[in-house]
Amino acid sequence: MAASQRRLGLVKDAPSATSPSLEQRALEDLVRRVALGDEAAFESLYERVGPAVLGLVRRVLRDPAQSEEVAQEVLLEVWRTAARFDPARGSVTSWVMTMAHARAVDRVRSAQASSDRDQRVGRRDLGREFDEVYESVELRLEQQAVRRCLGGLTGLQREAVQLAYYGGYTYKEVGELLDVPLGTVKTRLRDGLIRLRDCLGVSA
Amino acid sequence: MNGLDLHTLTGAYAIDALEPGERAAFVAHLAGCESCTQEVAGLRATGAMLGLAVAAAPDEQFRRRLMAQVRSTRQEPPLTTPRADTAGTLRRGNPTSARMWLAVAAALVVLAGSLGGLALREQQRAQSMQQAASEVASVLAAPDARTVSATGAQGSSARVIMSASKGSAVFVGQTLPDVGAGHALQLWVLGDGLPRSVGLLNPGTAIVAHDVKPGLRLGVTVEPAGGSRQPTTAPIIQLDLA
Repeated sequence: MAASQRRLGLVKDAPSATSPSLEQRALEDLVRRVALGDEAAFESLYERVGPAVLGLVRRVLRDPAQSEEVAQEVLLEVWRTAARFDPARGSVTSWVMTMAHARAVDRVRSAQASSDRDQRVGRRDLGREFDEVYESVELRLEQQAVRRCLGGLTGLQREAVQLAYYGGYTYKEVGELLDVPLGTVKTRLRDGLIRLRDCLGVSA
Repeated sequence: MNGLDLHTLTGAYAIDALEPGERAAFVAHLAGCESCTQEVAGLRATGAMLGLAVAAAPDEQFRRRLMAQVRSTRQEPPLTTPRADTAGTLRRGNPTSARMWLAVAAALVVLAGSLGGLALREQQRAQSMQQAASEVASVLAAPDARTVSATGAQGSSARVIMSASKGSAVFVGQTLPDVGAGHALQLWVLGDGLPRSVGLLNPGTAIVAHDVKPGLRLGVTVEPAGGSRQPTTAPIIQLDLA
């Protein structure tokens, strides 16, 4: 804990935790090897992105068994389509997490899952986004940065972003939940994400 | 919805918060909006950070099941371009935008599949969609492809990607009025003798006009459902093929 606190202290002045880095280049290299059918490389890649994939899918779906199933599908898709990864279009992390989010949301919105919908995150859960998280130093740094940057949003921006991203709701559903006009939700989502992007120093 | 409104959907699109119809319209809008494409990439990467923040450790069984599946799953080959001539033009162009165009072409073809007015059997429909796919891709990837945008009556807006060398133009109706069940929107080639019908449109659809050249125009008219042999109303929007 003391060690990670010291590391956390560093992150303020070191946006490298979130900008393209040695870590991203190492991930790109792993994906290139995975594309050649290298199972050991896939296992290393899995060690690095697997917890984030499972965590996000579980955050959106809630149901543990379904979440594992969808997370496996996502990771298998990484294996299958590694040859189609294009570093010019974004980082490995962005590629994998975009797939994970899309798959989780597809599952949520499929008719099959409609009966489970009520069990998913509601407004009252919004304060609990950071429970039960995977403990690793790198991720803790990122969690810290995300939490700090979410804190810099307006209340409406934060609620809209969290409901849409972690809740898997469409912006129209978000509008219903928060009882605000659609145009407002649309712009708050965009403003909120842009502010987060700038705060986190994210580059595509 | 005008271009400015569509642009504000980058956030919702990047984190999968659009409903299917709007998503399709936004994908069509991305075709000609480089700044939107960049913004979407940045916002997706931002979403990824939100995802990283909730990582959860999978157990050992999860890893074993995954690795077992990996060992029995064939990988997909890298993407290669479908035809030799297309590949040639793609290599000459900017690689990122060429890839973007191909992705856009694929999305547009999905849209083209929703074209109304023709009661084709499923197999014919699939074939015509496939043909439309390669036609759209070949126009979008042409080295001389030019984009023309226009706005017209009733808040309509549309974009045409024209390739003089291919003699073809891809029409993307970005915002077209809802004309209801009794009417249809029909696209015409204008300015070279009698108007020539290209086909019927739905909002957010893409369609390819053949045998066109600079100096001609494309125009959209409101016609009775099923379309007309010749326009029966004045065009609500017209685009000059540059």
